[in-house]
This record gives sequence, structure tokens and C-alpha cells, in this order.
Amino acid sequence: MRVELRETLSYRHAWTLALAVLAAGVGLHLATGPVPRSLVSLSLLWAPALGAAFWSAIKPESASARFLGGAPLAVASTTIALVLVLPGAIWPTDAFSRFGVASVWESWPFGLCAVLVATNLAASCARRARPLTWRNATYLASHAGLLVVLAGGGLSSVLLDRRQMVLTEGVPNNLARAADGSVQMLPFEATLREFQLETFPPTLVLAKYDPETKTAQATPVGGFVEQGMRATVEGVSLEVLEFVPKAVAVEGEWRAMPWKSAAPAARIRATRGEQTLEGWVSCGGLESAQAGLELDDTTAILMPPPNARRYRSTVDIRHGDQVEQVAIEVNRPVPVAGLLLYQLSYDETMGAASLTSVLEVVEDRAVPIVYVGIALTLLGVIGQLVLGTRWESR
Amino acid sequence: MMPLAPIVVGANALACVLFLLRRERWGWVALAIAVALSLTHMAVLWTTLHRPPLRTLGETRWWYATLAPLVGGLLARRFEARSLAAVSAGMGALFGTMNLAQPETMDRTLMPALQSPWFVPHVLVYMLAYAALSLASLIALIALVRWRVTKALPSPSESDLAHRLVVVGFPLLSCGLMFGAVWAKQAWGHYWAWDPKETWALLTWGAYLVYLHLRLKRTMSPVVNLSVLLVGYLVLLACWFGIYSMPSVVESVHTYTRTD
Repeated sequence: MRVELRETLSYRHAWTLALAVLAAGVGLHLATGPVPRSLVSLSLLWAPALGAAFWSAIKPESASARFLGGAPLAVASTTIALVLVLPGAIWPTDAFSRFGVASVWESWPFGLCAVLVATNLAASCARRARPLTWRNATYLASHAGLLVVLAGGGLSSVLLDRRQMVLTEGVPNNLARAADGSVQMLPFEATLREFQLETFPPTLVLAKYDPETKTAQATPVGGFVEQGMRATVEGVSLEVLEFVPKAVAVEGEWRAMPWKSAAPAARIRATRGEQTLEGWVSCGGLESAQAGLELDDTTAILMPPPNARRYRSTVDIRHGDQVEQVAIEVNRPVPVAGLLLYQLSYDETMGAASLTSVLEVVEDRAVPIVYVGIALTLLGVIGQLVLGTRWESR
Repeated sequence: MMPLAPIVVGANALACVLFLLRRERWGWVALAIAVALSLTHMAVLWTTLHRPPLRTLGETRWWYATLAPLVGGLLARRFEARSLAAVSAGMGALFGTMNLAQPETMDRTLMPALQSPWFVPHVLVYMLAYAALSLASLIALIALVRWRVTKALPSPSESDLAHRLVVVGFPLLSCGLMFGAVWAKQAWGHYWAWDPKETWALLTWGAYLVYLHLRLKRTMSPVVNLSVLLVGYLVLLACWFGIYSMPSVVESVHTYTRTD
């Protein structure tokens, strides 16, 4: 009887349960809107996973525990969750907002499918906890790790606090604004000393305008611009006669100026067949307009704006009586009073001369949980990689 | 740096042909030369660009053309599978040819978000995973095409070989996903933002996860199992290349081929 039940509770039942959960999610979403972000709703959502883990721990060989922690339910619940997120991978978010769905991952159908995945993971972990062999250990680590990542992610969606702090050079600020417009006073005061935008050296392109299609095509010349550089592109030979990294245009000539708002400029010689032209090219900046060397009515040598190498905000942090100077860059957030400060943006209209820097102030107390989950998962999958092929070959 | 590229492609193509002609000894020689030249090619690229050559689509294709023959060759030796060696050399030749047909202008710029210690491990581990998983899916494709034409079911050895490649590739894919999450937290303040590229990475991981769980039930038809591998490969290609042609790309911060 038990064997029959085990065989019966297979893919057919797993798909039925997963589709029923999906239908329930659609109904709930239509009735109540998105999943509320609160600890209460999160706790309720995790109740089935905890229940399944408890039941599977005390009755690991029961048909229901096998079903809840089994591969068929893993396949069905994962497939439905993946199908739900697929549209978000193809179309931009605003394509869904017209249907009243701001984001799939905040919808009840996805939320409940995630609960089903978590329930499956929790039941399978509880069943595999004994006996603790090497094989079970790698299985447990990878599956429990994913469960912890899901738990941390859910908690993070409730606890995460992200705000933007706009700093202007020399002006102290201790306020940060959230996406909903609410303003929070921070436990420290920040003053922007300097915002630095470093760029790579500029490059040149051969731009061709097609009057019929009214489109332009740019072919990179290749390599950074430097004095003496020579290159050939589409039959045009180029030579950089003079390169000024920071220059402003004065009566048609580009002169070196040590200003942040100055732009790179190069005097080049272009040769195409019998035709030889000389002139200045520059991407332009706050002080000067862009300059190009026209070869004919539809072809010109241009200098695109150089790519950014580094954004850095040097900030004085006043915390009580203490003042600390910190440098905040992309990939190098700075912890201050339990918060993390990220370099987010700047005044793009001013470019390197920006007197404004926008920082993001992030508080995410669930991060340690996510990191523990990631570490566990990595341990598990690396264990499976090392030991897996050996078992497979047996 | 480019003169090596056509030789790499030629050596891979030659290795593929030699394996297909059952000239195994010479096939291994050609494959070893192809891998050695590929690695040299990547080292030269890395040195001349003054940055890891892992930024653009073309650069990742070169890595694939290097790692597919390397991973495929090593696993083919271990599993004693000549067909795997032929497929991996063929993939190396194919991806190298794609790059030669559409050469990119490579430059030395590396945007601030990519200047991280996570950049190299994240992308390299992904390329290793792509190499193993795509070879598994190609073996599945060959078996399924033969099944459609001759009605001969895929042999257990083909199924097992494809599965072994997934067993190697899936943990690497998981590492790539996790490394990316940790890096995103450091760069942007959130480890998961449902960026379209991230979502495709999750879909790829999920597709192979579904395959692994389906395979647990040994009674499942090998045709079903191998078909899921094919779907996984299509999702993988969408994640790697396809995303850049989709409407969602406007919302992605993972567009490093364009230097904007």
C-alpha cells in the first residue's frame, strides 16, 4: 500500500500541486495586489517550509515527506517559477506595468511558487540530514545553502533600506532620501571635498553619414590618441601631430588649460588618395564645442567622449567630534556607522567639473544570512564537483 | 596579436577532422597544439590590452574557443570518448571562425564597475561552465538528430557522457552565479536586482537544475532528458548572446560590448 502511494505521488501530483499553487497565487494577486513587504507576511510565507522540514525530520520515510522533498516537486515548482520570470528577461519592466504588474517577483504567483521551492528544499534537507555521509553532506550544503539564500533574500526585501544622499562640494549634509521621497536624518554628517572623474585617453572614429537612410556609422580607428600615433582606417591614413589632454578652443586653436572642464583635443593629418587635410578634433566640453575634421560632405574624423576610468568622491565624515576623510569609488563602498556608502552618480552635465556627487546609503541587515547561504551553496557544489564524477563513474 | 587566431582556428578544425577520420593519435596532437596556441593567444591579448580580455562578446568567444577544446579534451581523455574530443575541437573552430568573420576593435578601456577582483573569476568560471554545458548539449543534439532520422534511441553511453559534462559544468555555473551576486553587492549595493542578464543567468542555471532533477528518476526517457539539455543550451545562448537583441537590454547594466 505504501509503495503504491509512493509511486502515485509522482510527477502528475507534483505538477497538479504546483499549478494549484500558481492558480492560488493569481487569485490572491487579483484580490489583494502585490505581496505586502512585512515581517508578518514573510513569516506566514515561510510557515509551510518550516512545517515541511519538521514533518520530514520526524517522518522521513513517509510518502508525504518523500513527495514534499522529492525531485518531481523540485522540477515542477522550479519550472513554474522560471516560466514566471521569463517575460521579465525578455521585455522591459514598463511592458508589464500596463497590466498592473509592477514586477513579477513581487507578485503572489511568484511569491507562492518561491514558497513551494523553499518547502521542497526544506523537506529534502530534513530527509537527507541523517545519516550524515560525505554524499549527504555535499547535498545538504548545496540545498540548505539555497534555502538560506532564499530566506536571506526574503528578509532582505523587507529590511533593505536604500537612500540617496546628494553632496555638493563644501556643503555639509546629513539627509538621505528614499525612492518614495521620505527623508531620513543620518547619524553622521558628510561634506564633499572633491569629486574626481578620471577618463581613459580619447580615441578617434571615422564617421560616415548616409543621407538616404539618415543614419551615421562610426568605425573606430583603434588605440588611444597620443602624439605621433599613426593609423589607417577604410583607406584614410591618420597621423596625430599634436595631442593636448586638457584644452579649450580659442579662435580656432586649442590651447592647453589645466581646468577640470577642459576637453582633450588633437591636431591630426588625414590623407585619402591625393587629398591631405589637417585640423583639430575634440569631443568638446563645458568650455568648447565639439570639433571634427571633415573629409567630405558625409565623412569626418571625430573624437567620441573618452570612457570613464574612475569615479571618486573624497568626503569628510563628521561623526560626533571626530572627522574622518574617506574616498568612495565604484566597487569600493565605505562602511560608516553601520551603513554602506556607495558611489552612485554625479552631475553628468558638468562631467569632470561636477561639483555634485550622489552617494547611495545602504543598510541591509539580512546580508550576513545571504552570505552564509552563498558560502554553504558554494561548499556544496564544489563538493559535488570534486566527488560527483567519482560517484557517477561507479 | 591576431596572426595567431587563424592558426588556432585551423588547428582546431584539423583536430576535429582527424578525430572524425579516426586518426586519434594525430587528432590529439592537433588538439594539444590548438589549445597551446589558444592559451598563448589569450595571454598575448591580455598583455597587449593591459586588462583581462573578458569584457566584450568577442573576447568571451575567444575564451570559449580556448576552453571548449581544453575542457572537452581533458574530459574526453578521462571518459575515453573520441566523439567528445571531435565536438570540442569543432566548437573551438566554430567560435574562432565567428570572431574572425566579425572582428571587433578591441581597446584598453575597462569601466569602473569591471575593475574588481571578482571580474576574472566570475567570467572565467562562467566560460568554463559554458564550455562543459554546451558540449553536453551538443552531444544531446547529435543523439536527438540521429534518433529523429534513424529512430535509434540515444545510447546509454551518450546519455551518460552528456550527464557527466553537466555534473562538471553545473557546479561551475553555480559558482559563477554566486560570485556575480557577491560582486554586485560590492559594486551596486544589491546582490540581486532582476537585471535582464541576471534573470537569464538564473534561467540558465534553473534549466540545468531541472535537467539534473529529471535525471534522478532513472525511468525517464533519455529523449526527454536530452531534450531538456537542448532547451538548457538555448537558454544559455540567450543569456550569452541573445539578450543583446531583446527589448529588455535597455534596462541591463551588463552591456559592456558597447563602450558607453
